[in-house]
Amino acid sequence: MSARKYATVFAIAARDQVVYIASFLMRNVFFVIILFVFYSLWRVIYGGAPDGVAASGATTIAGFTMVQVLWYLTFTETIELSQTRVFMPISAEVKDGTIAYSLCRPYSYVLYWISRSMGENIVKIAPMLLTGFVVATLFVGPLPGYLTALPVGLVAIVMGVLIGTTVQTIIGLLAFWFEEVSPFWWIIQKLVFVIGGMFIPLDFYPEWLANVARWSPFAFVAYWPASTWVDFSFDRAMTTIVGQFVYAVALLALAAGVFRSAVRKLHVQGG
Amino acid sequence: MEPIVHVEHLTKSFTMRVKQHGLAASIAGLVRPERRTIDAVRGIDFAIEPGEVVAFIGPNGAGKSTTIKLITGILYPDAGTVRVMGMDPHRQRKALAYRIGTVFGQKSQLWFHLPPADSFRLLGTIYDLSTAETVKRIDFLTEVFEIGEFIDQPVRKLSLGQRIRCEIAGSLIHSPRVLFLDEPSIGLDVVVKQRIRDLIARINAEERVTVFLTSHDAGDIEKICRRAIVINHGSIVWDGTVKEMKYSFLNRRIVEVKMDGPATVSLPGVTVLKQRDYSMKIEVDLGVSSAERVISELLRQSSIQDITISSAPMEEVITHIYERTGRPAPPEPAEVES
Amino acid sequence: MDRSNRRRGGMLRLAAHYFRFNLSASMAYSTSFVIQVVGMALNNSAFIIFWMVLFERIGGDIAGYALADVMFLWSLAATGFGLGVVLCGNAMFLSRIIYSGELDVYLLQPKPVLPNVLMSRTMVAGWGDFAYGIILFFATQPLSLANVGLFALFSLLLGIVLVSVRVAYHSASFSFGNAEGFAGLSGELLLTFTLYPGSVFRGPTAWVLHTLIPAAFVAYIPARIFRAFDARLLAIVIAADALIVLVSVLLFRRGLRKYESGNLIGTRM
Repeated sequence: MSARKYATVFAIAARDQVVYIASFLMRNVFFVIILFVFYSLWRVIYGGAPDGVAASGATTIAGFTMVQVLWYLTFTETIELSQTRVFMPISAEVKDGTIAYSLCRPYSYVLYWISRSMGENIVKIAPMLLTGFVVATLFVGPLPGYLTALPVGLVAIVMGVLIGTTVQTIIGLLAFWFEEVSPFWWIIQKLVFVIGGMFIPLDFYPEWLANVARWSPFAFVAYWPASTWVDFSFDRAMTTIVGQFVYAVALLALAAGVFRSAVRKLHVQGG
Repeated sequence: MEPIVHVEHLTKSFTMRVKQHGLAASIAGLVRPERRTIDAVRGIDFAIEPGEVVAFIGPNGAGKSTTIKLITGILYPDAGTVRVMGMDPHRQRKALAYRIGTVFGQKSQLWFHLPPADSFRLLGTIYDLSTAETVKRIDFLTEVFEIGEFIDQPVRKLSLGQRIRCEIAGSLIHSPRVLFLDEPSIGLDVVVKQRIRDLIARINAEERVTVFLTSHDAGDIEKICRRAIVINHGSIVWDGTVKEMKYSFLNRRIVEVKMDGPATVSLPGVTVLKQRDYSMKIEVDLGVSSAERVISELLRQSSIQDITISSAPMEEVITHIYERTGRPAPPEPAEVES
Repeated sequence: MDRSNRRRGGMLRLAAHYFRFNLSASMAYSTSFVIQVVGMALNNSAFIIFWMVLFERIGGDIAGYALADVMFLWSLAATGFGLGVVLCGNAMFLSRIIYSGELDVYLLQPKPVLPNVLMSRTMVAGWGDFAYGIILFFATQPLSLANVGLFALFSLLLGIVLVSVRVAYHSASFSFGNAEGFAGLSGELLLTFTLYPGSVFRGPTAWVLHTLIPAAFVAYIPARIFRAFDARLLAIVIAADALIVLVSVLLFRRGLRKYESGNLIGTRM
């Protein structure tokens, strides 16, 4: 019964999202342009001084061919651009006090927002994967092993978005303690950019930094899903899925904990 | 005397895109939107003399806001002319802005997160007052509007009534000659409404500010306006004194009588609203049965102990106006008030 | 009352008042101010780290740009962007102001509409960018009086052009209802392109970057002038930027004539 409740929230949010054709177009246009910027940049970089050669004869940097780098960025940008900024409505509800009404409804507040936001995210992910497929193929050609990695890749990308969304939910709830929460979002987002390998595979980093970054939750949002798809092996796939599962559970528990202490604060202060 | 606001054959229409239903139609609409023309104001004329307080009334979508925006220079007319203090509002927008004040309920000129005092000082700069002039004017308005208590609190923390008082005070910083108020009393409780009305009346009396206000509130119109202009479907359907308006628009009287014995009235155009013992409350449509006929009918049956004849309440007049389809009422001579 | 003498200096006095007003308004929430400024600085650092890692890995340069040149683009963009959003914070909200009819408030005030509406809001986070850009400049660039002067000039031009480009695109809202998404994207793209080595974009893209998204005139050519001073290029940059400002003001004016004060969306059928 309860699972159906969240499934309905998910479905309604998904349908609602389809209506926003204009914002859909904007997002995909931006996506294509940013991929074009990356393509322009990496084309020049790979034309310069590569540091290795792949089995296929293509030149590599940090073990990645140019085809792999661009496809990698296609996947990380899909994860980044498809994420609804769910911390915004949550923090707005907290600030204007409407959260008090939401608390009366018969559902878990945290799960409500996560299902709702994931509904919107999925609708954004699907066309972006398609756009990314077409654009990346046109720029650098097809990704070897795309289909082999597809099943795990899809799950890993959705899981990456789920982790990001859960973190956002926690940030939204921080509005109980801070007047302005968007700086927390910027910081987390930038940690995903840097530590998570959003702009560049972590393998490009100096060894020590790459080793630390690789096991952070941020890497499981971007680096692990994207690198699994471009450089598939069952070993890597297992690491990705298990790591994502562990972090997702841990963060959901944290979100629930934050929510509980927020409610206590609400009751003490009477809203 | 030269009218302070003079409007002739003023016309304005808008083109709007028609929103399509369904996904396919929405996409088609993006490429080739279907357009429709709305005539918001259709050739209206009126003149307002300095010092008047005029109510501008009509149902939602009648053209009230468009007219105010044309007079204040926000919109440009398709045809016709507007003169405010001899100026063309659109061409001489800035020159006119120094002489008029506006309060549009929905669009605040106060900064939401800052105390009104800060906004007032900024408005002083916007209207090129010197710092000394601004301070003097703020002091004066603070006293008149009794806003001293909360002038240093952020606007977001004020009640609606406090906020509206500050909005009106803010619109008077530069001592305008004409004040345009769009729905000043919307959402306020009775006591606050009365207070706002008193303030508007006071500003009109003391500073000789001409006031032009739109409202749906019967009290606003009855208590502070001597004159009303009624607009519907973009045309003016009535322009005259508020008192006359009551009679022309709704030719009905409410008669409350206390009789000495049993009595009933069954005349055409007479509705019995309430009847208990020997008392009754009836509504008489004077166009069908005259007051004289009703009273003589009552006197035929018994003698009258007490009688009150009153015109229909203002609310009813307004409802009546709004429900009409925009045909002007046939001119009728005002009858004697009881 | 004759105020004509004072009216001439009115706009400058108003600009100064808006600046003080906005600043004190941001300071009123001092914690939020600090958090936003620090947040923005961290935000920018993320990208700086990306470039450092990239240059470290590949060595040398990217299409003629060394790390220091990319850092120059970053310091220029951050300073100019910060300046733009601190002084003219309403530029990115222009569409909303137009289609919601909020522009009425400014039309009713006796001041030129465009500067009045642009300056009446500030974006606090802009201070973070502004400070970050300056620090980055002093930390990564060769210092001389001439260099500092050029940097100040180019930052100012970038800020002005960024605001102008936003004005130009948001003016579409006068004719097409809500153009917020489209105009927002255009502003976003200009900023994005200024942050990459201009020489990696060739062919048709280079044309776009000299016209619709004029990153060349606010970043790439200034970066070239900064490396090797060229008076002819400097004149071209100033003329091009002036033209951009002119075009955007004209577009706004043309749009203003069509302004419908929120009546367009007021009725839905």
